[in-house]
Amino acid sequence: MTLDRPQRILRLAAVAGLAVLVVAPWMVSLYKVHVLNVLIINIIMAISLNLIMGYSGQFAKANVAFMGLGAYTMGLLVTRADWSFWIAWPTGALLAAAVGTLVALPALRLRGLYLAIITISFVLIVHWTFLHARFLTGGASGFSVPHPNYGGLPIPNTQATYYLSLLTLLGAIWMVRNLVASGFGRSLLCLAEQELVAPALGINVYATKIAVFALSGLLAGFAGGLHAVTLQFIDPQNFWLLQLVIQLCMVALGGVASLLGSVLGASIMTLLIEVLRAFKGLWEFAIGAILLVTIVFFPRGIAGLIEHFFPTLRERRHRP
Amino acid sequence: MTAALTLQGVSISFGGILALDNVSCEVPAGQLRGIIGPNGSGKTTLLNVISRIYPVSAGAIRLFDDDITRWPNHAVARHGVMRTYQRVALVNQLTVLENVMLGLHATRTQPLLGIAFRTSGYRRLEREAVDRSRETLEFIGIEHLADRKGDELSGGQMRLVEIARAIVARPRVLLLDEPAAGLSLVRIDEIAALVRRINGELGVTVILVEHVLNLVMSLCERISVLVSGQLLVESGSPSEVQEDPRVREAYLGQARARGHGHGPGKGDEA
Ligand SMILES: Nc1ncnc2c1ncn2[C@@H]1O[C@H](COP(=O)(O)OP(=O)(O)OP(=O)(O)O)[C@@H](O)[C@H]1O
Ligand SMILES: [Mg+2]
Repeated sequence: MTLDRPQRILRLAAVAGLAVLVVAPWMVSLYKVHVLNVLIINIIMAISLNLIMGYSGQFAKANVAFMGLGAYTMGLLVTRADWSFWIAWPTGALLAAAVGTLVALPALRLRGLYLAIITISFVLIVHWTFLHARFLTGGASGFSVPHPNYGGLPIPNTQATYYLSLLTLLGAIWMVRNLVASGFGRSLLCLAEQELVAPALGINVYATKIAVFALSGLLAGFAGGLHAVTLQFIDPQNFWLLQLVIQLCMVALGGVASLLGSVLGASIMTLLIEVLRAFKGLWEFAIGAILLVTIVFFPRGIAGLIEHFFPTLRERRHRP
Repeated sequence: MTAALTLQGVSISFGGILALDNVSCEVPAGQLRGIIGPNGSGKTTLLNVISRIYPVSAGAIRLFDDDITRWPNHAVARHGVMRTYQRVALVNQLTVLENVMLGLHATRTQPLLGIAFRTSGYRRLEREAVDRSRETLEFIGIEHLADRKGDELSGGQMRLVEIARAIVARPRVLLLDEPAAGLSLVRIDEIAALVRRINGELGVTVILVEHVLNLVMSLCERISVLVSGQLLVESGSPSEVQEDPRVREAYLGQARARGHGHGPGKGDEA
């Protein structure tokens, strides 16, 4: 297939961006490696949330709880049960996916505001549990998590965890890109726009919703485990409503139903928060302002603008 | 002759209003059946009941040899009942081709693992889906629209795409809800020719709900007349229906109530 000019530029930008991410850990301070690592995890979270809110149009906002479940499960199995990170991490992600299918159940019946309220309540309950099951979780003071065991890998742990996150992100992008450019992805968009029409086309709405919630939970669970080993600490405040709002902001700013949007939205938000951190209280204001301006003036976010000016960069919905 | 669709005493009520009242009828396989009736008589509700969007309050629905009365919505589609909508319902984020590909969900379950890992088996499936959808667009004569978005089309084009989506999976029964509504006379003739080909060349049983009575009279072998949720005529030839005084009365009564006239055999819906 031949690419036109905007497509070639986008591809070039992607390769350049990836190259920067690959060499960065050896060029910048450890603190900046840490920030980039968080940025990568935020992109995974934005993709996870976009699958549900953007592609499927479901007003479910439980992803930050899935992330917490992935983090706590991994952390507790490693610190309390002496499990290897390499078993505990996917276990946490699978548990988050399983809980995701449970959260899908109300989404089978409820829509819009009601689904939002139910899923936000779920976030509150999970957070409350992290806080109050002190004998297990250490309550509000959280607990430390060791580095994963990288065996004989000849690089420092911080860089190794960074590359693990990067690999996870690449895997997630590859897989989600395959899924959204398929019959499954098209049926998600049909759910979002024409929920009543979907079953009359032979789409099993229940199975589709359960699948997308499980997938979204799985990604968030993996991201949660990575987040814990990146910070080497699990703090319940990281799985709280503020993080939920930040992630919503990433999806809205980047653009709904767009992978490119999730990457850009999460990257911009993470860097912005980092830059504004120096000015106390400013970044919360900035987030609110960005969310407001985006929703009012660019309802389809940055990706929507890009598609408007370069229609050939529209995300593909079939790739035979 | 086998019956494609059988309704036995089907009733449904919305908050006390009986939208369908003990409706029984039989549509033989291969027939092109018209359903007419004044506004609000329950025609769309009848299609919704057949495609199992609404559960019936009483009665039974059979599709060929299966009792589909309690089947889930998507299972009915997968057994060959596809439809269009009075208010066109395309997915605007998808192109025309991709909208038509949606219709193929009726023929297959999506292999999630194959999709996630882009296996060769899945890619073959997707190529087949593209080919079949293109063929369907060609059959209807709108292959040039394949890469347009749903919301970049005229009203008439949208209706054609919706028909393409409904026939791509080769349904056994096709339900059309006012496919000619709001179209110019030329476009109505195109729709008529298309419906005839779908019924004749593809052998699909068609149930056509339509307000444009000329269209129904010229297309359909048998016509059912629905008035206030009841079948006034279960199955009549166009001339029988046209001459039936009760049908005239039902339409004229409505026309009188609304202060302007259109009756069977003469009017087109604006
Ligand atoms: N979901 C619903 N909830 C409540 N009432 C409904 C519902 N669907 C249909 N009705 C009622 O059932 C009756 C039949 O409506 P229906 O839409 O089937 O008529 P129709 O024959 O298709 O009319 P039109 O020619 O205007 O399309 C109407 O009185 C309508 O108000
Ligand atoms: Mg109607």
